Amino acid sequence: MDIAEKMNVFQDAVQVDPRVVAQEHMMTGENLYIPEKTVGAPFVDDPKMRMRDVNVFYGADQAIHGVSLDIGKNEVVALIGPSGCGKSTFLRCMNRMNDTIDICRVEGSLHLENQDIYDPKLDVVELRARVGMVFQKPNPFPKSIYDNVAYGPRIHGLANRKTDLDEIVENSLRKAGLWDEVKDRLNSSALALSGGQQQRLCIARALSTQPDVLLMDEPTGSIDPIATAKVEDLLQELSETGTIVIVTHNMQQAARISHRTAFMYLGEAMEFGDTNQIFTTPRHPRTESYITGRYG
Amino acid sequence: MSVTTEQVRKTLARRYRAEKRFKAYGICAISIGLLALLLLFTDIIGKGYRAFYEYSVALQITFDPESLEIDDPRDLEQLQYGNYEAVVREALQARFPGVEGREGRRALAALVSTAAGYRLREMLENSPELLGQTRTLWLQLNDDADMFLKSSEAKRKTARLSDQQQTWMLELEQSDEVRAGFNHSLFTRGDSREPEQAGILGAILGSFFTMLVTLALSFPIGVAAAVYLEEFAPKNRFTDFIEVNINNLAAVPSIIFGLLGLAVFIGLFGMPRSVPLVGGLVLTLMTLPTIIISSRAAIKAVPPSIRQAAMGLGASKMQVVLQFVLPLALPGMLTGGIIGMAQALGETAPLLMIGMVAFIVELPAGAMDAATVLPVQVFLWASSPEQSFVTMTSAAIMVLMTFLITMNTLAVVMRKRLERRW
Repeated sequence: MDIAEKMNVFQDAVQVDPRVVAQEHMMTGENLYIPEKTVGAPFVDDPKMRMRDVNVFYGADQAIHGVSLDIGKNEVVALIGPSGCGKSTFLRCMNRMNDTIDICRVEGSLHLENQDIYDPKLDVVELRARVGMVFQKPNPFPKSIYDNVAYGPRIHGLANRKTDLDEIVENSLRKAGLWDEVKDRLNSSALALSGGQQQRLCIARALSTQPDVLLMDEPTGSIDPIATAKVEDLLQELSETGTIVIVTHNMQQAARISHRTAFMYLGEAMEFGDTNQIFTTPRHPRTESYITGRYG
Repeated sequence: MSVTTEQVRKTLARRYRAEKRFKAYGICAISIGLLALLLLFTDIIGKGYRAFYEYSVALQITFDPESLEIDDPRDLEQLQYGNYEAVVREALQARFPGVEGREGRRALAALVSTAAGYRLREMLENSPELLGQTRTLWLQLNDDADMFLKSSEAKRKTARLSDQQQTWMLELEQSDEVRAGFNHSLFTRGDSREPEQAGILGAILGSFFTMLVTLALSFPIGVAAAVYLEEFAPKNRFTDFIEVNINNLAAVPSIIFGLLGLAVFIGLFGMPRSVPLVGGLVLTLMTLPTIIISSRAAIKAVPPSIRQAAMGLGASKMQVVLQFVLPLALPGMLTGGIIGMAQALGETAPLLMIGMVAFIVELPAGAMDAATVLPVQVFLWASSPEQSFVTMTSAAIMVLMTFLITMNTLAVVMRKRLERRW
């Protein structure tokens, strides 16, 4: 046996399973990235959105590691997980809001029905009209209530006549449960509304273009409990007619309003399944420790 | 009492003392600033207020056809060559009959401004029937006589009037034959060699046309550059290089812009000297960095949540910029623009280089007429030897300051008005 052969044998001997190394690093708080297979039922038949092996990088840092999951039709999917686990980043991939961040790079395949979301030929304007978004902090435009809701239909040319536009505005505000509160002051500034009203206005604005999918990034994160209850009722109604993906820190909220829940941790989807099952009999030990409040 | 409370109590007095000291420093700094400002204003106003009024003397003027050498006042050529000074001289000699000799008569005639002659001609032109009649007229005094009357007792001894002239002036003063009135010529005339006939309207108009050119060019270019750099430009070495250079330009001494204007606009493009157009172009170059930097800051201050909201609804980049970023950034941009304009209004050095320092009597009618500007007028008068120009200089500074304060107030008011809170 010559030297080279001896070296090979030696190297074989010291080779270790990378999964074990990753586990050890996670114990110590570091992370070394070998994506785990998502536990539960991440895939559904005939999904509304299909995501496969999604990786997201901010410069050299990887924020999302090979996440694969499906969003079904007319379902409310909650994304839960500790801060910094990549929930929002993943959500923002779905309507390419990450495009606005220069250093952000997205890999993998994301489809809305049969449309590749990251197809270079796809117009993001069209995509965002189909996939609406509501943000954590209410962000109404510094315009009147009416103009806030009418903005989307206007830029997309959805209403040709004033009466059509009025109808869209009224319907959107009704769906958002805000119509009765603001119908007498549609022309006053949206900034004069309370925080909860502003958030519902933002939801009405997102609904005005009748999106197929509504993405919500902690929509109740900065409003009071009563307003939160109103928004939650609203989400339940909306789920009858549309698909909603909601990021939330509030596990009770996820349990109350979602059909299926995904638990994300350090940029990976650890477990994805029926909401009841996730909160009663979680399969992944990390999901269990998170929902029982051991960390997060 | 716990250990912590005890510790806190010990340090509390010291902390409050430090706070008081810090406050005192701040009050000191502000007081020094205000004091300096007060000093500046009292000095300028103290020197300059005298330029806003002028003395005139009451004289019995006889429009004598013989002395005037005019027999037909409707003949414009005769009017033009009329000897008006002779009439004024005769009126003065009639008032002080005892004056003998050429020297004495010349000294007497020097008391009244040469502008008096122009006024007589104008009167005769407007009403020819005056020929041969006698009228009591208030005629403008010469600057030295004017200064003598404006001076205090103590300073009168050092006035630029001879003893004889001084006694005449005192006599006129005692018999109330002189009176003070508003100095109209200050605001209706261009520059002149005679202080009592000099005005700042020419400089104001020159400044106005220069500012017009500067505003029309620097604001749109500056805002467009800021929007492109902030919203559309890729972040790479080249744009970094541009950014560094814009900041450098803001720090370049203004006279260098003047040299550039001289070499490029006048030398290369063959534009005329001393015109507000070239002045405006040079000041545009000088103000651009200020406007670009402040506009970029205003654009950066637009909350990202608004952009995200618009983009989330499917607004294109252009729509986001035009419908949200620009309207929200406009107050900041306008403030920057006005401050840049105020800076340009007070600028002297670059304009010296392109010939706007010339002595120009005619009022400019447009951006292509030779003109000077307010700060350059201050410079010109400050370097003139006549005593009256000292007060004129201060008066011009006061007018310039009024414009600057108005513009800066406008900037503050506009920011307050247009500012939106979210």
